[in-house]
Amino acid sequence: MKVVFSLSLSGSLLILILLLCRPLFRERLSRQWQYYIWLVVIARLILPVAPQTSVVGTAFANMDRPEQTAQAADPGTMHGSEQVSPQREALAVQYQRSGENGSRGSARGISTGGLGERLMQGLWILWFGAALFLLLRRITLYQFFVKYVRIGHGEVSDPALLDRLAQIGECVGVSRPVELYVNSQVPSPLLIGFFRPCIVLPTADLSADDFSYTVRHELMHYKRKDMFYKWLVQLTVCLHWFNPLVWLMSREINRACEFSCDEAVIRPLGEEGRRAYGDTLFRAVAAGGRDKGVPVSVALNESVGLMKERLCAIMKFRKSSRLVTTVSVVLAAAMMMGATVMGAYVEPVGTPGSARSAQAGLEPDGGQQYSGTDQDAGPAAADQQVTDQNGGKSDLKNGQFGDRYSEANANSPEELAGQYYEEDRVPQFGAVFSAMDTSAQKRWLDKLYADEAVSFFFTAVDSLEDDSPLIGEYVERSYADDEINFFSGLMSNLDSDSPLIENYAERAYADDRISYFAILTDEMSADLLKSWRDKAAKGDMDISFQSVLTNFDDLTAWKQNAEQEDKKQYQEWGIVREGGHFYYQDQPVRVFFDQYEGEQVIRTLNVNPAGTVDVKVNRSIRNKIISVVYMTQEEVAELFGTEEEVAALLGSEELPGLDPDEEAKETKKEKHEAGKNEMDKGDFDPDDVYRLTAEELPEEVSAQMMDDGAVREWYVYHADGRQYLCYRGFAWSYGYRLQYDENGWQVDIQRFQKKDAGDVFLDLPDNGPVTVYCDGEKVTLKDMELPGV
Amino acid sequence: MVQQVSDSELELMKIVWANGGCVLYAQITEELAKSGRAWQKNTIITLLSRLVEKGLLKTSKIGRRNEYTAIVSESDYQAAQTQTLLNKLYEGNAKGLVATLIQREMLSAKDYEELRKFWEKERDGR
Repeated sequence: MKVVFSLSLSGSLLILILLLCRPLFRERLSRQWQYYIWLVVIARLILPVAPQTSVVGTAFANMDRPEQTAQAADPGTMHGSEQVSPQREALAVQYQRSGENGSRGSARGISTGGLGERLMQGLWILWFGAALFLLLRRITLYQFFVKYVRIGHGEVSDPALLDRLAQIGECVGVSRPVELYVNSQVPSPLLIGFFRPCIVLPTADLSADDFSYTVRHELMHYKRKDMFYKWLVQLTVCLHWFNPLVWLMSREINRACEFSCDEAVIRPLGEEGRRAYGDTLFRAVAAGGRDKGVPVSVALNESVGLMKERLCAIMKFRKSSRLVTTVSVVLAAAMMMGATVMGAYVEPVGTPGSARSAQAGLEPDGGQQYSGTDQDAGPAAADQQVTDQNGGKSDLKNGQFGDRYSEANANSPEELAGQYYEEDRVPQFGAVFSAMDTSAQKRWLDKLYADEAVSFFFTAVDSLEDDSPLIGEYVERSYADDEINFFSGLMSNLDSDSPLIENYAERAYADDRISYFAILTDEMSADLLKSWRDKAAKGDMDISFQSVLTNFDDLTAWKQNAEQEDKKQYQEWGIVREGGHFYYQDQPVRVFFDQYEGEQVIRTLNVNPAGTVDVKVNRSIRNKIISVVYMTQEEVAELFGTEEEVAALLGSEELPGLDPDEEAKETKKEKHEAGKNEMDKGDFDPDDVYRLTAEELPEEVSAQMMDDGAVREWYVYHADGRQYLCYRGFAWSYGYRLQYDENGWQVDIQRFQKKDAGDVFLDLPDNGPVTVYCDGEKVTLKDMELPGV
Repeated sequence: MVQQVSDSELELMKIVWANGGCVLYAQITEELAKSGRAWQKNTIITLLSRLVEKGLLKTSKIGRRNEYTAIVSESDYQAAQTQTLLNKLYEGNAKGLVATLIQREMLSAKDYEELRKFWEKERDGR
């Protein structure tokens, strides 16, 4: 009995450590690791580490002495050559010994505290009985469930579906034939059977994608032998039925299981595959509804809340670097060490100490993990670090700027700002604003806020440091004044982990201001959102607030995605944004000017007086960067007005490397380096490609399509120096990406959402053959010359 | 009572029957390929094991190869299926079935004549 208690206790400590440290590694380490690390805990919980001479015998011998009744297994016996024996054997031994002991104890005399022993025996019987009962119940429930599923089943006999299943099996690495049943009674797809795996779907009437991803997910469970893991967990729960932490652990493992299975499924997939997989999960929620308490089975859809979290995780997925892998291994090793240490000193009196030592053992690694993953987590984390550094540096810069300004003795930034404000020149205003000192900034913000000059206000806020107290001040003001425009704008400028979001969510909820709350949910980090959702799930929440909490996952994920894309595109062109400033090929940028070419719409204008180069980014209205060039002095002047103004703003020194010839060279080199980009092809112009509606399609093309009966097939029609890529009956919303090289056009179509109807019509210049990929797969094209053209 | 089998399973049974009621796995794939059905290996195995479960086939190992033997002969299977059809559609009345066959010219006059002779011989034999 003592053994059980001691195992439970040391296991609990490990569970606590894992649960408490979870926020640290949740987003950083692979889900796989987060899933399998629990095995260490389970091992701790069910494997009594015992010396050669039966531990139980000694323990029970000790138990005879009343002064030790309070202690668990004798530490002495736990030392020495450790031998691991499975719990069941130990139990059997325990059982026998307890019998012997019973007689021995009574023989040895009542004087040595037979009461304690009897109490222990009573406890032991209670524990063992309950564990046995629970385990048997689990097993019978499962058997009943399997029977129930099999009775109501229909075999899927369509060889096409079976073939797909077999192919996916091959692809996932399951060579064994897998049965496929349909049972409308099951709430969600699931996998039963240990040796003869069998996938049961609620319906076989799924789209090809849904079928393939569902099956892939279930096969992955089979391949990873998740059902053995689950039963191991069940066994542990049954043995430690008295320990609520173990029940909690079982819940955690179930969740981790789905997460890591998702991860394993999407690992080999591309971005689109992941999105499609997310779509499948999403539709599973829509169709399946809530979990009906299915006993141990590996279900694809467990509950809506979990599902949303899974969707988020899929969108955020990134492959782990070698560093993360190393850290994972180190942490796992630390965990195992901890497990061993704890197991070796199981003793109620000593445990606090041992726990401390184990934690201490973990901490250095914990630290390592922190620093390690920060580097690894790459752009996001790096950003933060640099922001902090810059927090210190920027004051310095401002100081420098002040000096420069007094030397230049021209207009003060504040005066310039007034001028730009009058002239309604927002980006220029933003640039000057960042050069003001805090009190001037404050004066201006007040003015803008009072004038309700929203665009100026947010340009100004944008150039503030992320942690500027001014932001908090205006958040409070707008909240108090009920200026929801200002409030939402300010919020969208914050990092998702800003404490302001959490605080105001609490307040908006308490004040019953649902529109404010809705704005906040939009900005919340996944964790925070989840905690609100959990609250909503418990049902103690106003229904209107609850409704606000649904549906935002996808939005947040998309937003993050867009930010990622942006960062990626910049990186491809050698631009890095750190701490509010830009760097081009590792040089700090003085004037960073990002605009939509031809439209004269400014996307970003950022000024850093300490920069050494001026850079202009041209992008198409499709948001694709077309070129990155150094700006000439004149261009800069034009942007900001007169040269004096520029001097006032930026200091008057000439920038090196702005001689036009050199500039041209530089630009060319840059283009060359960014070889991936299509720019050095003279005849490639992504703006010369149009997405047409059926009405916009030239008449002769649509007429010809009618004649050809072109439906649900890819056609290319050539007419008047243009070519038209057509697909009638494309029932998806879609996006496309273009590439042009010596092989002609490559069009990547990405499908997003299923629609009722739709077509693809793209109008391209006829200067090369077209290759089309749909969701990464090359499609067959029919190339048609229009007769008579 | 023979259990209902799906079309794809029947396809496999026909191959087994056509090969004298006893085939190796390799023969099945060969036959399938001939009829233009390139089913995946696991698909075939799944279907075969369903047939084993339903009591139409049994497996035995010859070395490392699986041999599938029909437990139910083709004619038995046809008889059982016909019986089911009769019960289901004609409430066990065979006349109705024959009437349909003749009316809809699924049974030609020549067929009918042949059948009559066959029947007379059977009757005399008894």
